[in-house]
Amino acid sequence: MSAPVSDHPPERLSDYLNGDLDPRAVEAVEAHLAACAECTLALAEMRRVAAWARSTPPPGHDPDLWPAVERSIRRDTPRRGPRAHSPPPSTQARGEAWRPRSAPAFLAAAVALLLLGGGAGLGVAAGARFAGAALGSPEVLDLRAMAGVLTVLVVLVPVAGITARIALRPFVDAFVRLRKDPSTEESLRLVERRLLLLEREVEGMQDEQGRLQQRLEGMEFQRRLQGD
Amino acid sequence: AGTLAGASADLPARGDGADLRLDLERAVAALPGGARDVFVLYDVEGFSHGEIAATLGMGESTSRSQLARARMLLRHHLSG
Repeated sequence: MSAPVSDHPPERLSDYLNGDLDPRAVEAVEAHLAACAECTLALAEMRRVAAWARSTPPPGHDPDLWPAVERSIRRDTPRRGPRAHSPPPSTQARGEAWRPRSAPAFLAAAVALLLLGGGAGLGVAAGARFAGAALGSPEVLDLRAMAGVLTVLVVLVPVAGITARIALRPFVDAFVRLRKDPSTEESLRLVERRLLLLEREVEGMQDEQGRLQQRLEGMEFQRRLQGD
Repeated sequence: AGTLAGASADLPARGDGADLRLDLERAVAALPGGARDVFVLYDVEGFSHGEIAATLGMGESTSRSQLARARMLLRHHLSG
């Protein structure tokens, strides 16, 4: 049984006519043509159109029409320069872009953690001193030192936390990926299948839209001709 | 640009005269802009899809589909 006509859109027949298809595609089109009268007729008519165009004198020979067509083409053709296309950064490029930012962040986290450790040590020492002083001689209380240590801790703890979070995030992400739950993988597979089905539905809608577009273009084309 | 082998055998007879030619040329002029441009450049002027794509700032696949559109729209003017 032959494939449906929708499998051989006009582009396919046109490319076949131009000799632009690879041997396998040619074989497929010819197999279809052998069983599809509609496509065979369309191909014959397209061939006649192309042959007529080849036999048509180049633009300029007709004093009336071709110059008008040429002018129309020039008027409608957008003046475009080379596309300033900037491709999205590759994964590798993104990775390389990540390193310069994360390396200082990691260093900063290490420094902050050292400071935090030092601050905590000072705090512990001051606390011990405060306790000893409270138990022993109250007159040696150094509240100013305590306040200084607490201030340092209040500043350093959030800074160290944020910096460590930024620096360690890639490692945490990698760990999460390694420990990925099998049920999550199953869910992902289901989502991927649903996406595939949705894509097929969209392709079907696009095919239908293409057919409607062709009919609309044909009607518009006839309307223009009749308006001449 | 293309092979178009055997196409000459399908040409309209000379006896069809200037009326048919004029009718087809009017039909070309009435084509949608993109399809008309590609048809004239490919089938009349003999440019390749690559050259047309570079000239008109479109992809080669677009050039191919526009050529097919033009041929499909024009074919009824030769079949009558």
